[in-house]
Amino acid sequence: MPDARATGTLPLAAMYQERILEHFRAPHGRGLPEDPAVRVAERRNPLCGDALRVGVVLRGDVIEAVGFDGSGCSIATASASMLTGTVRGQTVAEALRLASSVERFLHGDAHVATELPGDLPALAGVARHPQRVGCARMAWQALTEAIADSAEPLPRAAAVAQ
Amino acid sequence: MTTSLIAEGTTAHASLAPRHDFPLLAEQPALRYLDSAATSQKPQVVLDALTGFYATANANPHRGAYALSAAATDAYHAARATIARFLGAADPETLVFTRGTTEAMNLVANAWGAAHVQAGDEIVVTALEHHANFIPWQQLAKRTGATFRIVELTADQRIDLDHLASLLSSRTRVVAITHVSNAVGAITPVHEVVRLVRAHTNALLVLDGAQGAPHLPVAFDTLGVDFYAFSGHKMLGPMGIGGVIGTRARWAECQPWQFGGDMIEWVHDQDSTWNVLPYRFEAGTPNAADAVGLAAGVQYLAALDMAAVRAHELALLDYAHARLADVEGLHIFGPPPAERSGVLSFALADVHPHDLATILDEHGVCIRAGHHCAQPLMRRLGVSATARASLYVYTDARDIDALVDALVHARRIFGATS
Ligand SMILES: Cc1ncc(COP(=O)(O)O)c(C=O)c1O
Repeated sequence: MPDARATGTLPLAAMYQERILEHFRAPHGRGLPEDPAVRVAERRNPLCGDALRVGVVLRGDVIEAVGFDGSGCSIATASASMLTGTVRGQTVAEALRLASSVERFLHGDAHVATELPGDLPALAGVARHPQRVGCARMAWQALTEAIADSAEPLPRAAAVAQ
Repeated sequence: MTTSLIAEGTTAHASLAPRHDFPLLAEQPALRYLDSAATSQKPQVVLDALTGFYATANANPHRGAYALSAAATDAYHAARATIARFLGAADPETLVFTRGTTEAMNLVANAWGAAHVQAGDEIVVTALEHHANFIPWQQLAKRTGATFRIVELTADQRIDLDHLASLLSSRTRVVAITHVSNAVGAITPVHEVVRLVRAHTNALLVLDGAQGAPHLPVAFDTLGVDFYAFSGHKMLGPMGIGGVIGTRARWAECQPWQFGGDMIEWVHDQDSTWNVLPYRFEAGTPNAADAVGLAAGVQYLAALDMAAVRAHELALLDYAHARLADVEGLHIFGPPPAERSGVLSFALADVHPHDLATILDEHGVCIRAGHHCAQPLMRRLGVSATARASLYVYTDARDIDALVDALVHARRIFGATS
């Protein structure tokens, strides 16, 4: 007999919520902003070889445009999709604060859920799968690097092969 | 969810080795362990041999002039003889213990390669290799200025023997090839490779047996290769022990590569002389306990009979293929089962291998998702990762059924219904 875990009603459902699957099937913000001033940072997941890039365009300290490209699993893609939806229009400081909240959330700090806008609380299930936390973090780490790092816009590298 | 074709408790496709021989599997009856290519589970006899060594014979081998040290030395020597016999080497002293295949390949690349490879020479590996049999040679080529050549694969990920033949010449100094691919399970036709390499070169021929020794009968003395490396932890033994068997002639061409205790004869102020084979290549306190544990593991395998191990895996592979035919959108990499070891490396359309592994984990099914330390192969497959289920002596039809049920569930979650 399959045990309770095999019925798909327990933690698995929590991990693969419909919200997450929707973002995966039709991600927002796919594609880097077409702007000469775009700052791009890339993250790779050495466990699976996936690579994700996030590109931002700043006007002053406001994120005017943001997008991502690359290949990833459902968790990496959904997380990137949610990211683009939430940080567009935020200031750099707001976005960095959000990135660090997401980081704490993914590491199991459930209290920050109330601070998280949009669909981000749907990532709650990821915290129970330590091997998958890295997938959800990729986009946020790339964002942090892209906006925090350099005063200079990064040169835009060739598109990541899908 | 599909129901299993074979009910629990039927004897069709029962495991070859009783599950209750393996404490971890006995303790977790719902666990479906399908990652034996990464490491095997360990039978009680191996754990007993390990604790037995520490409880009754623990002393530093080769060192003390007292009975207990002699007992440790004897146990270590007996383990070497047992493992050499299991792998078909009549001369146990041609087996050098290492931590595993990785260290074995680094040993050969350094001990033989550094002394015999130079600029203008060519080193040949295949696109199927595990990083352990790829990087040591890539870096040796880089250090020496030799040319590093990679044999490409057929459409079903077998070594392209015509391409291999075309790369061989009098410049070829090393040919390093896997016996069985860990990533897709393809079995190398060793006799054909030996024939080609010997006909066209005087090259050193090294076989990576990490996935060969656990799953196929191996007779080193009739294989015709120069070195054969293996990892104990993939063949019921403990982690931290493995080795490499070589011909006496090739060992004689090797220089010591690690220095310290045990491997010396005399140490003078300005130079030293070396101990004989195999000790010359085993610097420092040996891993005697794990060698004793591995010896118990290979005795367990020998009692099962390696031909029966292969037949068991083949029967399960056929069963798995029949059941997996029901799963829409599944692509299995590698050659057909007759030319494949007990490995199912696959992609499920629209489902990332990482998502698959998580969903399967929730079903109690342990598979590996990733590049399997074979990035050159992944590039050629055009994927970043595959999902891999791998079989062994304790695998049975219930494990396969659980895999199939979980894959069907994964397809449901990702909404691909037909
Ligand atoms: C084909 C192959 N070669 C080499 C290795 C490396 O073995 P180890 O990690 O035990 O040194 C492995 C296992 O991971 C393997 O499957």
